[in-house]
Amino acid sequence: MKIKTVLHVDDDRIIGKMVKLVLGKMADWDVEYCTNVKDALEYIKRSEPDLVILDIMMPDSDGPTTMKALRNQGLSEEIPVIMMSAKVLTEVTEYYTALGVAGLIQKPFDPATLTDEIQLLVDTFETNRLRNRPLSSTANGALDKGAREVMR
Amino acid sequence: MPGFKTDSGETAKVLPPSLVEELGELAESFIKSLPESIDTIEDLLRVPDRNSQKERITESIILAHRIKGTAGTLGLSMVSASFAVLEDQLKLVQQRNLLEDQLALTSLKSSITLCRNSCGAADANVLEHRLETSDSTVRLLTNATAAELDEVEKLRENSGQLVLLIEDDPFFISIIQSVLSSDEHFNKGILSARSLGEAAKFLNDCEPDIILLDLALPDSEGIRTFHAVHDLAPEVPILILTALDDTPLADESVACGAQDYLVKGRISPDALTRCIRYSIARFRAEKSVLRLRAIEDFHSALAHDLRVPVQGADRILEHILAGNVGELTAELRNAILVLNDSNKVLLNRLNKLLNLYRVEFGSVDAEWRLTNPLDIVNAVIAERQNDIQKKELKVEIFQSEVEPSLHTDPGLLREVIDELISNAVKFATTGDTISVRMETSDTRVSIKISNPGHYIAQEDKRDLFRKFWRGTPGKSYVATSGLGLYYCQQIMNVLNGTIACRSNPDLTTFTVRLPVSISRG
Repeated sequence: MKIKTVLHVDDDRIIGKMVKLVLGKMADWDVEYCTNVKDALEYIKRSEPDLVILDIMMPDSDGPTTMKALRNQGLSEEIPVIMMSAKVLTEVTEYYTALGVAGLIQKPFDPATLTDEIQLLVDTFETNRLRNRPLSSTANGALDKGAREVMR
Repeated sequence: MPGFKTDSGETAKVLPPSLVEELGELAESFIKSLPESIDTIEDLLRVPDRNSQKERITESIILAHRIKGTAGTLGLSMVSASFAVLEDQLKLVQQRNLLEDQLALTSLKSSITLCRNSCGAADANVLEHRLETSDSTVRLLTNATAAELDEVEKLRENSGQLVLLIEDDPFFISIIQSVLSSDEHFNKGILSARSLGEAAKFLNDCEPDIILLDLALPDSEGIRTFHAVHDLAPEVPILILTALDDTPLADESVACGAQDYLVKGRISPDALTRCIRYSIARFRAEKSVLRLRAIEDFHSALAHDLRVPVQGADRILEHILAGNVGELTAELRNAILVLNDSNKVLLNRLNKLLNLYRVEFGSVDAEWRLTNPLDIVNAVIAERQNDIQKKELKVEIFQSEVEPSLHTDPGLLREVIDELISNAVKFATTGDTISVRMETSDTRVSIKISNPGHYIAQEDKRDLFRKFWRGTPGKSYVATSGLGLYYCQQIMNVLNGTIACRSNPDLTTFTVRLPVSISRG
């Protein structure tokens, strides 16, 4: 799936700047950066990104809570959500996957491979989603952004 | 992993220079902002207001935590590590309410200084360094592929050191890497394994110089992890690095053979480098000690075996001298007497060797009895009468008015006195006087054995009681077997006493001191 716009939520401005720089320069993605959940919800009201990246630990919220809030606000289940975390344990990964998270990215991340890692998680998420869809929908074939916009 | 060979063996993507530059700027401005952040933390801790204490510490913890994370992501591992230490300390202070404790404050102060220093030394170009491969002096190898193992061999040939890091936290892996590459003494390679399984693959093909082990791995927990790794590499020192501050676990690990147990957040990078160096050195020293002990054991077993035929010979010679094997001519008798004497000397030496082993390694059971040391001295002198008369020596015995009496093992004490008196006799010149002086106090009895001559120089005195020291042939004091005085000292240890030597050109005195009663001192 082609990614163009990314919503990134993290209270650390420097990480925000870093992610914006890297995703922009390495893959030409446009990053909308928010430091808190409130701003993120505002953004979702206006437009829908191709991908959401959330920091797991924030002062007023954690990743799963933020994700739930965004989905309630109207973020489509088709949009992958990736969490960024300082420590990734096997059980934790499974927990998040069960919640519907597309994957976890570990901090500190490698600027050189970050975009590849993200793309891989997104593609896998997409493939799994299509596989699990009820039969009537898969008849529409592979999804691309254009098709989704039409469907909306 | 940053910049190193990926699983498929290809080199990592290169960042466009403009990105590297901008990330560098980001890192630069971050580093610039750090002194102010540190000031903020200091101010938070300095406020004397008790009511806001809890919030203030929490705020400082959050700040330290944030900086740790950001620094880590920017590749500033040393900065990150120092803030990790600070965060951990702040958490302790909070947990145990130590904000008014002087020691805790001093400790915090030095952690804060550490942070300032690391910020000062921080290099904004560190991201570039992360991506360098062949220029790096510390290579991080993550797979046991044939190519990487070849590299390990090459490292070894260039007498580099090989560290196996068994750790699944990538954060900490990069910290270790920075720490080790900043140490000039450290040369070359780190292997990193993210699980016990991966480590086993490495250990199949290579033996590192040291293993840094995190007990909490994805496929193993706690002391089990240590045992598993120790079994895989019994000849390699293991240093435990873990996030858990668990004293019983630490004690258990060291008791089972780990060189050290370090809590990750609580050690500074310098301490880590030193700890690795010392663990390797200590392990080697321990191995030598074990080898020496094995040699000792061998000697004692040998002495034991040798004693049997020598005792046998002794009995037979006595038999012959008693006339039980037939008539002896005068010449034959003399010859056999000489043989008997030298055999007895040999037996004596073997017994001494065996006794020494028993005394040194603690298997001798002292029999404490009320003893008059004067009796022992007299008995020894009586036995040595022949030698004393041959050299026309005089023996003077002085004692205080009170009859000396103490609780000790008379057999062991006799060995010491025998050795000292026989030495005195051996080194006396004809016509000399040997004096034995006994002094008693409420707690101690001293026995001083002196004789003129055989001056022992200052530099030789140091080695006098050392094992196998025989002195320098040609100088006046030469021990016969080099064991005697060492043996005496070991016995004195068992008897809770001391032995010492004073020597000047006119007189040499050996002093034996013993406690009057069994209770120590």
